[in-house]
Amino acid sequence: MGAGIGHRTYADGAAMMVFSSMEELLVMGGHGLYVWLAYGATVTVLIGSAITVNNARKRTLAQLRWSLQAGEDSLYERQSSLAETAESPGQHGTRHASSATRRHDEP
Amino acid sequence: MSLTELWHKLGSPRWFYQMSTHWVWGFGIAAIVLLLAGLLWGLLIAPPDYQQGHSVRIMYVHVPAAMVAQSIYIGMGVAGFVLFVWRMKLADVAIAACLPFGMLLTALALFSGSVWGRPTWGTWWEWDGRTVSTLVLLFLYIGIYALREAIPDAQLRARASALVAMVGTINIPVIKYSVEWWHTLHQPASFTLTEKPTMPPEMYLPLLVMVLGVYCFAGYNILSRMRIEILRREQGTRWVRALVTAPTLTGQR
Repeated sequence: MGAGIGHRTYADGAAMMVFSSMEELLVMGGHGLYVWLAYGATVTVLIGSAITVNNARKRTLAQLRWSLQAGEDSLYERQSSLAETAESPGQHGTRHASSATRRHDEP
Repeated sequence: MSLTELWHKLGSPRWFYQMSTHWVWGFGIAAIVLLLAGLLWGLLIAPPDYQQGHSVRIMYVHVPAAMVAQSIYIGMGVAGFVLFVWRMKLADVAIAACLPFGMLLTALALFSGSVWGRPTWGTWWEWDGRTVSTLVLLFLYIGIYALREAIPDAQLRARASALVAMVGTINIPVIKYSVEWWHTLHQPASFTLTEKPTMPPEMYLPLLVMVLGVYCFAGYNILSRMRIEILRREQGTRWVRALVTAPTLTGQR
């Protein structure tokens, strides 16, 4: 069991950790840079993937809710209907006209 | 439930969505526990190697990344086969969901391998069999991803990516046996599930915890992506409308 450098057995209890100081942990006998790069990249990938997938879920649910509330059947239809809104000033005008006539009818 | 029943139910995106709610939570919680334990164990508690010193700690993140990256690719190959033979729509959803994390893990395995190679082999990069076949794996992931982006027709996209996913599985045994076929710098397998480990338990136990943790994380990540994709594809159906508009107390959908 004593093969490793500074290796302690779990029977040591309090000394489960291999490193006795913060500096030793950072330097790791000259291999610190490589070990920390590998662990840093791994943690970044894991946390990044978790955040990305959670954001994608929220975004999708929000988009679907939005398109449902807008009375559309699908996101694709919503995108195509954006072109139609460009012609809406015409509709706007007729609505104005009708309200104008209604006002005219009022005594 | 019999196997044939399960098979038919897998054809229903709605059934899959509802069942996977529990699976996602299980995998997610297991991943957090195992990865936290495994990372701290590998980094702080596991003993240094008598030859490699502390750089051996890279094994606890390199081996799981490489193993799971290959497993995800095998999963994509199986999904490709299912799509080709039975035309199951869910198989295409699975292929799409496997790509991002599989690609990232392969890149991570190459990176951590490079960082491990510097102190142990004396070089950042070595054109040995395993490194090159893992690079091919990364290109396969990127290739299928690019293929899917390039084909607008859904049916053609599904069949093309299924075909490449299937054909690409040839690379998996090449990665596996590369260390035996070509005797280069890469060390042989650190870890197999079938044989008695050559390492002491102080080293293989944290490695086992990390491997299981990354598998659970992959399960969580891929299932979540599949569920998002199902919602997008089934958005016209009544069940998705009901699910999207229903108020939730737990935030669980």
